[in-house]
Amino acid sequence: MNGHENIVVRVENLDKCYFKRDGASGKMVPFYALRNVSFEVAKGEVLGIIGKNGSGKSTVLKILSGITPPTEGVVEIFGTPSSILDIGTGIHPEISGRENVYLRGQLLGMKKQEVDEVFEELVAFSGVGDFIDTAVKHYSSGMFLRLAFSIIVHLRSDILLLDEVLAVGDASFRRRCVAKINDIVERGCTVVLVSHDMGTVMETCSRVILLDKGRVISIGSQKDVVQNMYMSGSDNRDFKEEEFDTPKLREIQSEDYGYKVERFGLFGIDDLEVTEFESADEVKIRLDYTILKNNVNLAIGISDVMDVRLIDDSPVLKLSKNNRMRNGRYKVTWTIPSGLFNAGTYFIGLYAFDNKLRVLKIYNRVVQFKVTDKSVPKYVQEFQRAAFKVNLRMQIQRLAV
Amino acid sequence: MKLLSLQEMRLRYTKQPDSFSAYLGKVWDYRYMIVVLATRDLKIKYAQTVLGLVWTIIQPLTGLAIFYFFFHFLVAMPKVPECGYAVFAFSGMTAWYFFSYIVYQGSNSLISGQELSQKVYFPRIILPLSKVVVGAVDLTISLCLLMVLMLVMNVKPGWQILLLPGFVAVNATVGLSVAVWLSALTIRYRDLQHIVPYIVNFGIWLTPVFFPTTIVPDKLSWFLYLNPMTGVVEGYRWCLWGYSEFTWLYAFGLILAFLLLIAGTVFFKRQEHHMMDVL
Repeated sequence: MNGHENIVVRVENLDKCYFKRDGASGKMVPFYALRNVSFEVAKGEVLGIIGKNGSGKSTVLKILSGITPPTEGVVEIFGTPSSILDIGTGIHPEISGRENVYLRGQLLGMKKQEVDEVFEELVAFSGVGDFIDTAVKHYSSGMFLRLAFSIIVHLRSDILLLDEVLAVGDASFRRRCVAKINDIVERGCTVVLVSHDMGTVMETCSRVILLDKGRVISIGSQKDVVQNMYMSGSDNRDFKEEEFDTPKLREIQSEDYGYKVERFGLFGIDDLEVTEFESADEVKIRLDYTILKNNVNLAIGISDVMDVRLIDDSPVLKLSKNNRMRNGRYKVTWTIPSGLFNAGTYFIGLYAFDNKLRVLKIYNRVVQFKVTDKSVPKYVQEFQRAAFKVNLRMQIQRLAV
Repeated sequence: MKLLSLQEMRLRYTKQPDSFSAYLGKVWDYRYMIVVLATRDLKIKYAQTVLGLVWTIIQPLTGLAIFYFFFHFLVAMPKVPECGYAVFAFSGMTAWYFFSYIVYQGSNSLISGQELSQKVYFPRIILPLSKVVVGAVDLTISLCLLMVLMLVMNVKPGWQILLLPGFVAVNATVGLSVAVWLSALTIRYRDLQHIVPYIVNFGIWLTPVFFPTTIVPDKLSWFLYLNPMTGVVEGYRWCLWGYSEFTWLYAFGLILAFLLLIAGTVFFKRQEHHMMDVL
């Protein structure tokens, strides 16, 4: 191909075949992890590869980084790639953060002088501070991840291949990482990232590939691909039908942080708890909880099956500054107006945060609900996305303990 | 900013393995990785050990003490040169320990390094190669000990000591040729790991480490020289303190080891292509 000037990664008719032992016959049978995958990535692009577990998305990255050869097809990369298939590979617990930064940086292809140049900035970004000369085994898991991630975002390469690495760390650190990635891209770096976390893909990617069972289902702008995923019938239905583990309500009583959740769920107009409702119905989210300790409060977040957060809200946004973090019993209701949700499965999560809005604890998918929509035939159901700027009507009642 | 045309930096992956020369080119490009991995091994080795370096000194000295006790004190080894049994045995042990470190660590390096190699690309032969560097650090310490021992025993080295690096290189080549073969084979046949202790534990008796070649009947001594390590051990002694005569038999071991290494690398490269799917 007389290639486009700006193409930095070209993948053509990629097949990857593994052999697995067939349970019944005991023979080795071929199994295609990838089938006829082709795509191109232009310079400065952030390409996201999404799909369920086993869809082949990580295999694509393994081939792109040269770790395993393709069974058929060609991969061409123009530039120097750095592939990060795991956040902390090569970081050894027995040796200090400083030594690990150098070793890990060099394992990823940096020269010693290059690490020298970014070292100060890197340590500042990670926020591990004085601990940099302490053996990594004494780090908290958060510190470990922040250090590991700082190394990655300070790499000097043309092409970054990232596998799931953005899905780590606390929310605020993650946000900084995403900002940093955008920075790197502005400097002309190209990123290919694999993620099952739609939130990350939405925030960072300019183009998305959806894989299923080793084949490309769709490729295009995020909006198109996600729409495709929600609308496509048979192949992706199991995205929606999956059963999810949800934390039990009684687990959400944190002695450490000082809150107790008494009731959390969806209620119909007759005040009976519901788990499924018609899109045209009006329902309420009720959250009753007690704050036992000042400086803590809770928030809810509604997300879809791909964990894209659609709506966030917290009573503190309505309370006056002085009353925000006072302890007491809270009874909060949010009204979901008729027709807000399209058909599908959604989750409500719970977040605890402190007065500096630092997230203390996240409980994802505490409440699961299903929305049906009889009024609209399935094929015209409109695509809905994070662009949901809705304010739910909220009522707060606070009682002293 | 340095501008490189994109065409120059092209990487291409297909089902075809690299050609042998392209593979060697890649090993050259990734040579810094040998040092990085060796540094990492050394740091891990000495992190958190109270005695640190002292261990590296104690180990060969304990070995020497045991063998001195048995082969000199209990059973007097005949035909030991003037320098004394301690210098004689220790110079042989130094060469042998370097060899056995490379064989032990090198043949296991693909399996012990798989966590890394499944996540980071580099030509896999770098793994056994890096073990040579780690072994060389121990070797240097051993050689220093040997020098001290020679000083104490009043044994003076001659001009030949300048050729020592050459024999060290042969020593490494012999070890590496075994390590490369075994590491590539152990990927498919894990039980070959058990062969390593045999080579190391029994091989030492087929190599003149504790005994001089002169006690072996003439009819059988050619048999001893089939073992490339014989040439290496004798060579160490020759260039360190002028033992015996230089003989081209030393070169025989080198040629054998070199051919083994080339063939081993070809085999290794063939295995490497699909290594990650098998490990």
